[in-house]
Amino acid sequence: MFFWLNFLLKSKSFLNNILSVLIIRLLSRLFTIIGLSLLIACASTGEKNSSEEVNAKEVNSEDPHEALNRSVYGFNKGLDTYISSPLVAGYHFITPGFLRITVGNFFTNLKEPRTVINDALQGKEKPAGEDFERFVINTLLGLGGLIDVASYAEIEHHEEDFSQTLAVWGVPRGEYLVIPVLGPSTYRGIPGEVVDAASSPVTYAMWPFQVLDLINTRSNAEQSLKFIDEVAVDPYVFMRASYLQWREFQITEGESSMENILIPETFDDEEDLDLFEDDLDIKL
Amino acid sequence: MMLVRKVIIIFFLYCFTTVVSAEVDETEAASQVVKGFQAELLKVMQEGDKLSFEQRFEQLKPVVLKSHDLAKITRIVVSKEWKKLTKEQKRELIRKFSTLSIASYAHYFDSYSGQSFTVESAKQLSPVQIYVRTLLVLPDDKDVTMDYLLKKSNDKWRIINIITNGVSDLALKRSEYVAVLQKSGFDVLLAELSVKIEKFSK
Repeated sequence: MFFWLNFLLKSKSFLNNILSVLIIRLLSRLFTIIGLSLLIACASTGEKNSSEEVNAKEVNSEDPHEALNRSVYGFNKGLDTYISSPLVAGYHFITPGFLRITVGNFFTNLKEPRTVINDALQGKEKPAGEDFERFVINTLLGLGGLIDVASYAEIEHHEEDFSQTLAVWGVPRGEYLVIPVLGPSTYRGIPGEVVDAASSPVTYAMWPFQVLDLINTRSNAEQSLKFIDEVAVDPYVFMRASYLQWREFQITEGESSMENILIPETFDDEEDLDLFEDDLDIKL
Repeated sequence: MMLVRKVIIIFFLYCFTTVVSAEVDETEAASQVVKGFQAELLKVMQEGDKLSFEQRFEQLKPVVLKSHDLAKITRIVVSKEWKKLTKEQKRELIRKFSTLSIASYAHYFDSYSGQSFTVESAKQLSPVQIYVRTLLVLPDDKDVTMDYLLKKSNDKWRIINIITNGVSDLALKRSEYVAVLQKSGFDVLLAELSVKIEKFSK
C-alpha cells in the first residue's frame, strides 16, 4: 500500500513541477523579497499560534490559507492535466526505459553539489563526504553522471535542500502554501526554493536542458501522482498532510514528530463498546 | 529407567519453556503481531500472480482483521465527527473502512520481487501503546521504514497506525476524512470509500 512513498522520495514532484525552473528564473527576485518579508513575518508571529487557535474555529488552524491554496491547487492540477501529463506521455512514448533512467541519473547527479553544500551547512560531515564522493565518482566514472556507479558501490544517497537547512538552523516552518506551478510549500520553503534554483547548474543551462529536466521530474512523479488519485478521498488534503509530514521526516532525519503518530487517548468509547466488538460481516 | 529419565527431561523442558514464555514481555508480544502479519502479507505477495483480487482479499481478510483494530482506527480517523454519527452510520462506516483497508492491501501487495521485512526494534510508549520499527527491504532500492503503533485492548495487541517513511497513515486519513465529513457529509464520504473499493478490485 505504501510503495508510493518510495517513489515520492526519488521524485521531487512536490517541490518542482513542470516549467518550474523557467518560471523561477523570472520570479526569483520577486520571491526573494516575498520570502524575506514572510520570514520576518513568521518569525514575529510564530508564538501567537497557540492563543489564536482557540478562536480560529472558522479558519482551519492547520491551513489558514486553505481557500487560496485550494484554488492554486486547482490551477496546478489543470496545468498538469493539460500540459505536463501529455508531455510526459509523449516522452514515455518516444524514449525507451533505460534512456529515461539515464536522463534521471544525469539530473540527479547535477543536484549532488547542492546536497553537499546543504550537508555542510547543516554540519553533517559523513553525508557530506558520501555525497561528494557520489558526485565525483558518477561524474568521472559514470560518464558525466549518466550512469549511477556510486549506487552500485553502495554509497548512500541523501537528499538535502536549502529549506531543510533553514529548518535545521531553527527558522520556523510557517503556514502551508501552494505555489502556482511549483506545488506544495510553506513560508520557509520559498527562500529555500529560490536558493536551490540559484545553486542548480540546470538554471544556467540552455533551455532544452531545462525542459528535459522538468519532463524528467514530472515523469519520476508519475507513480506518486497516480497513487494519490487512487487512494485520496480529498486529494488536496492528502497532498498537504503527506507533504508536511514527509518534510518533517526528512528534516528530523527519521525522527518524525510523535503528535502525528500517537493516538489521542481522550476519546471515550465506552458507549460504543458493542460496536467495537461486533463481528464484522465484511464482503466485497 | 530410560523411560523415566526421558519423562523427567521432557517435564523439565516443558517447565522451562512455559517459564520463558511467561517472561516474554509485552514488546515481544506486539512485535509478534507485526511479524505474523508481515509474514502473511509476504505469502500473499509471493502467490500474487496466481491469485485474483478476490482471492487475495479473502486470504488477507482474516489476517488483517486479526492484527488490526479496524473499529478503533475508524473511530480515530473521523475524530470529533464520530459523536455526530448515528449508531447505524458508525457501524456502516466501520464495515466500509475495514473493507477498504483489506482491499487496498490486496490491491497493492499483489506481486513479489524479492522484498522482505525486518523488525528493528520495539518500544513501549505507554501501558497500552507499543511502537514497532520495521524495514521494508527492497532489493534494488533504498529501504522503506515502515513502523507500527499497536494498542492493547482486551489483552490483545493490535495495529492501530502505520507510519511509512515518516508519514502517519492515521493522521493522513484523519485530515482527509474529517475534511470530507465537514464539507460534504457522511453519505459522500461513504460513497467515496465505495468508489475506492470498486477501483481497487479492478
